[in-house]
Amino acid sequence: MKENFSKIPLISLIVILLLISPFIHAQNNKVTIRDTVRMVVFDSLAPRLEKIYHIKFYYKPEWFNNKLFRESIAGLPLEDCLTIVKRLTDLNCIAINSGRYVFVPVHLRNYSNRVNRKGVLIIGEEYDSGKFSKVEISGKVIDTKTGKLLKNVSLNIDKLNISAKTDRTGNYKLSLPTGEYILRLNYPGYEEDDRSIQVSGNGIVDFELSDKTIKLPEVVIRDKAKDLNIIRSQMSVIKLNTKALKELPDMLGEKDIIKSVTLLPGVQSTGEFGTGFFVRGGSFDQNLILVEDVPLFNSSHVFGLNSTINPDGVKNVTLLKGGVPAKYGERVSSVMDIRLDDNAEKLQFKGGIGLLDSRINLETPLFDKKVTLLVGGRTSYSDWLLHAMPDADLKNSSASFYDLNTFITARFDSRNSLSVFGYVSNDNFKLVQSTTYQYDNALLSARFSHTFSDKLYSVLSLGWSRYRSNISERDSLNPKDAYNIAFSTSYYDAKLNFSWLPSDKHTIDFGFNSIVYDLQPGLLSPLDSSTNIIKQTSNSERGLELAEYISDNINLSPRLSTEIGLRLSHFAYLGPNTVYTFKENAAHTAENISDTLNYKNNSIINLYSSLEPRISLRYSFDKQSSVKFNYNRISQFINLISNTAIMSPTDVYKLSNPNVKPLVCNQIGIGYFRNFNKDALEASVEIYYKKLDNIIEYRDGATIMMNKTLDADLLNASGYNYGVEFYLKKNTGLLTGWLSYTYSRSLRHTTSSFAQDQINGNNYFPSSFDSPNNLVVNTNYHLSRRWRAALIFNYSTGKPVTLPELKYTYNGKQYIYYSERNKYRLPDYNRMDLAITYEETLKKKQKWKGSWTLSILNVYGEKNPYSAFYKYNTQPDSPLYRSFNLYNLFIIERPIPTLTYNFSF
Amino acid sequence: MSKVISKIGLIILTGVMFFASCTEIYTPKIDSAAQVLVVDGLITNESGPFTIKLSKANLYNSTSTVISVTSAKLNISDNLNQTFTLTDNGNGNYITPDNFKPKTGNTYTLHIETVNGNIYESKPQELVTPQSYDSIYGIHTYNQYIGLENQLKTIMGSNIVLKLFKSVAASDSFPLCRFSPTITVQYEYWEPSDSAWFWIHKCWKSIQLNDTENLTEDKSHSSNAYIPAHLLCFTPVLLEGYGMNEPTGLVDTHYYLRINQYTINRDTYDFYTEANKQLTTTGKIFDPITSQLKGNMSCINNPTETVLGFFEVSSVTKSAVVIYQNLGSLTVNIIKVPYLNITDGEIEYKQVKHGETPVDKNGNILPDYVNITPDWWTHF
Repeated sequence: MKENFSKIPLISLIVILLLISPFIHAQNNKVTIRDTVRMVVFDSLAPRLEKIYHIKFYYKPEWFNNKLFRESIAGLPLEDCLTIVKRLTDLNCIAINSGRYVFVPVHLRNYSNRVNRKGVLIIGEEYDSGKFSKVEISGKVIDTKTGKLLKNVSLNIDKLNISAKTDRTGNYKLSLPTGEYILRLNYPGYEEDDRSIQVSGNGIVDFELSDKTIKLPEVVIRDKAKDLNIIRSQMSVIKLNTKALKELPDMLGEKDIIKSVTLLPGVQSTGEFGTGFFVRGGSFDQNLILVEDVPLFNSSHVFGLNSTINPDGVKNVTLLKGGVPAKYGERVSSVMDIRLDDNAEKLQFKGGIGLLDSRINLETPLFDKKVTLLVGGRTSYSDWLLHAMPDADLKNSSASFYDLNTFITARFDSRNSLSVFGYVSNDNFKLVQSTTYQYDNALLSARFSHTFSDKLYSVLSLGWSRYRSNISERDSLNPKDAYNIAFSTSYYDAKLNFSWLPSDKHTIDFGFNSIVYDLQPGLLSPLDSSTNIIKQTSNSERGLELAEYISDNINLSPRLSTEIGLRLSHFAYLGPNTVYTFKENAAHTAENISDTLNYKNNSIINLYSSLEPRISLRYSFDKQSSVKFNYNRISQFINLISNTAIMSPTDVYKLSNPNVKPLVCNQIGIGYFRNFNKDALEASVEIYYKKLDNIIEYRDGATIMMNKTLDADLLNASGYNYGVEFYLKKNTGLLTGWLSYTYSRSLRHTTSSFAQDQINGNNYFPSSFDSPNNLVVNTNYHLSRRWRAALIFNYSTGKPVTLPELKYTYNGKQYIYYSERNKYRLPDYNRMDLAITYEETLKKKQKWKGSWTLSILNVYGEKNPYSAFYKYNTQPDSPLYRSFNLYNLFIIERPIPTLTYNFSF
Repeated sequence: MSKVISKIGLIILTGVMFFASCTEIYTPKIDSAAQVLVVDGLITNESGPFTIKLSKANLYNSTSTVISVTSAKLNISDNLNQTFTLTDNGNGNYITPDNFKPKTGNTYTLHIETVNGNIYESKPQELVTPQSYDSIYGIHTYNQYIGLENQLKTIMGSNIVLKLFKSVAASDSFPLCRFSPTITVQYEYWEPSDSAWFWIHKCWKSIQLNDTENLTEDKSHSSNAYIPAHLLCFTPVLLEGYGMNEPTGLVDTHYYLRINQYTINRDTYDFYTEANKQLTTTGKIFDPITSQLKGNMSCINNPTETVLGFFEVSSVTKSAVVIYQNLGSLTVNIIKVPYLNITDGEIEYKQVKHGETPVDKNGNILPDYVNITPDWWTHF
């Protein structure tokens, strides 16, 4: 342990120094160059400026027409120097980022040519604001390097569901209501770009785009607008767009969206290879993972090696940790909203070949680009890996998975569009030849968008999601007892959402949600016709969740904005079902069941309602800093019943019923956000507090599978989570990345007055998701245009565990008595991963674009315990004579190198 | 597409994968001041006397021996309001009186009063009607276990299987049973003497074959009217690594197998089912978090105090067989033989010529060869 502690600060220090060194360097370089009277051409001036400011210029020398400049201007601040150059040459200079500048012979036209204090481009005159309900903006889109006009560039405003394209001459025209928007520019082979615009009146604006292959990919994860973290009302939100997704680390051969998200403050992984995640001390099932509007119930492939979401084809991912808008409900900890790409401009394949699996993704426009189609899939070949395992059980096992997804979007006209999404995944693993686990996800959704007017539009979505798992076992001695147990969770929803823009200051969202849950928590059946197993079912469950919501995003002033919302949720637990009632003034144990009530099909067994206010508030001190506050209350009516460390195939979902009350979470948060160096550096501090009621805990040794009186094995608990999250992110330059530190606690306690229903005598104890200290350093360094290196370092406090405290002998065998729940902790966790990527080609016109990624997990081979467990063990070399011991399980105990080839064409 | 395929074909994937998930003994710092009473008691339908053992649980990291609880007052009461007082036999052992003869159908409750004034009591436990298995047979097979160097080892042997409860009606619930099989093997080793002959050591050793509690299956999931194949134990052909220190060879490849079949009540069945959760935990990622083993004892004057162990009241039927594993035909012969209490030990005698009388090291004449190898031992 001492070694670990000494290693951690050293490594942290190195990585932190690495992260901040460019700033220190940059400061030192701000020296004044001695004035001279020499006149030079720009070809001579440019290298000096590049050296002084660590920047790179792109230009054609002939554009400068041998114009001479005083060499001494190199000693001026860069901005002043460039102003002189632009004035003398009539060229425009565009900063792609803080490190790269492109001279172009075409002036971009923006007749107002102003940005407001938030850095938003103003179109029209601000004093015209409110004069027009609808305005027109037009202009050109040009290549930043060549000045060439680009045709067929897509311009989208997602908020209004409006899109347009540039014509043959690179001109576009958009008609839209006044307001503040994010304009997304997209052109095949070029970097997608998002611009914050404030439209007050008619205007002409030109935009520039750069070829992605000439641009160093340096931004790792960034928001849509550079300073969106400052100006938006919401806090506790993480947004990854296409550009950010591309830059996620390629650990274990491919980008894993969920694993990458766990590197951000307040989000923690379930452990090595566990793709589930905990948000601010909440359990895995408290996260609503939506893929194109439908929830994904199990997000991990075999053994949690990677997530079930194929990263190719994902357009953007939004994770809300707090301040959840009224539009969302269902789960109390977080919402992860995953959207697929609906903007294919040409036929394109993407894929990757890795050690565990391969994947392919196709995107293409159809019917004169009115329809776009996306089809993707992955399949595994991981058996060889299991056979190489030293563990004999795993050596005799097999595992496989696949997933397929498709997404079709049809745009009928400027007002109507329809999207259809389909997804299936399947996992199979066989343990020691006799037991087979299988689970699958199936998702289907349809979304119809309709714009009634410039001020009102709607989205109707219908969705279906099904999660099934199966366990089958055939004992060679008793083949007639071979059985299969099946579990299934089905989810049907219909959601109607409206957005109404009554004025520039208000955006009102309102809508209705309805969800039907249909759960089968266990169906035991004979494995085949020759077995004698009696078919049995656990009580199936059905529930109806209805919700209405309304929220108003109000821009009170340029400094102050708020989003106020209210959601009213209702849940009806429906028959047919059998509900147990317990004796009054007695513990809720199986022995104290006093009555069994049977309900008919679709009869309402009980009803819960919950009024859920949502408030977000933002006050900007200036363009660079703001303070935010939020509060939300959310109820959850479906819970994952699991007493294992990670989600297993034997876990079942359970609805709230008369004995299991809905989980309710009240969360408040406050944050301070500040950007530095023209948004090159983002910093934030967020503090949150969550109060949770009706949390499900488990009796010791609770039985989950085929337990008809499961209610009696569940305990009611409450608790609170709190924490402070520090975040520092560098967006630009050759070195990008972030540093985050989170201090958080997650505590629980039972509340029953009966000793049998208590854990630790009703005293507070750390939940399994309590990890007070968490430090993440994630850096990306561009060694050259082709080479890129990524480094991730993670340190966290060890997980709480329940350990044996006493040992005793009974009937000749050794037994143990465990400590109070989660009394001890595993040793602290620390790990460093490294990845180096080589781009095969930088040419735009090269169809085949490939890259190689060599990644090394656990660079210095730290042994991080995944769990501690007690087991009997053979000794010495004997099948009979056994000893008992406490063991640590390590998933990765040495460096793991992998090599992957990714391609697109 | 052909370009793609050819290119993919050229891709060489290299990589060294060592997903070495492994385990290591973990010695955490444990801090607990708990003094927890452990009750280890079994009474059966046999004539007795029976012993109830009282001890204190040790700290998990402790290497000290068992701490006995002495000078406690124990008695057993039944549903007929009879009370039987146990006598302290030292070292935490308490013996039932001679007049204590448990009867099936009766319920028994154990009462304990320790010197610190705490009073403990068991839940009343019913002595259920004893059951016997219907038949026994063996199947030649192979078993696997993980050796010292984490290698999978295969050993040859046979599964000994019971047929149970043929007489029980299909509609009834099964009786609940647990089995305690013990094999006794005979082996010998030779010790050189000062002269040209050897001292021969002929040894018997008994081995508990199961490291978990062997319980009957729960009938509720099966439509069978009886249990056609209940695995009693695996008996290996060779006993390499089975804890015998110096065998130069087994005298024969057959074993004496004693079977104690306990018919148990529901409380006892549930307790042993929970016990097996502790005994079979493997530490794999899907294991339940923990399984706390709670017995049927409680502290009357302080309900929050933990008391461990179990007061078991079960009926027992005992039987014995000799098992011979024929390696030529790969068959298993089983013959019922008398049930004898054999303690581990050895007989040492001088190697003798034909017609000479065997003697031990003290010069005592051994009666005859039959006494060294009992007559019931070889039946084939």
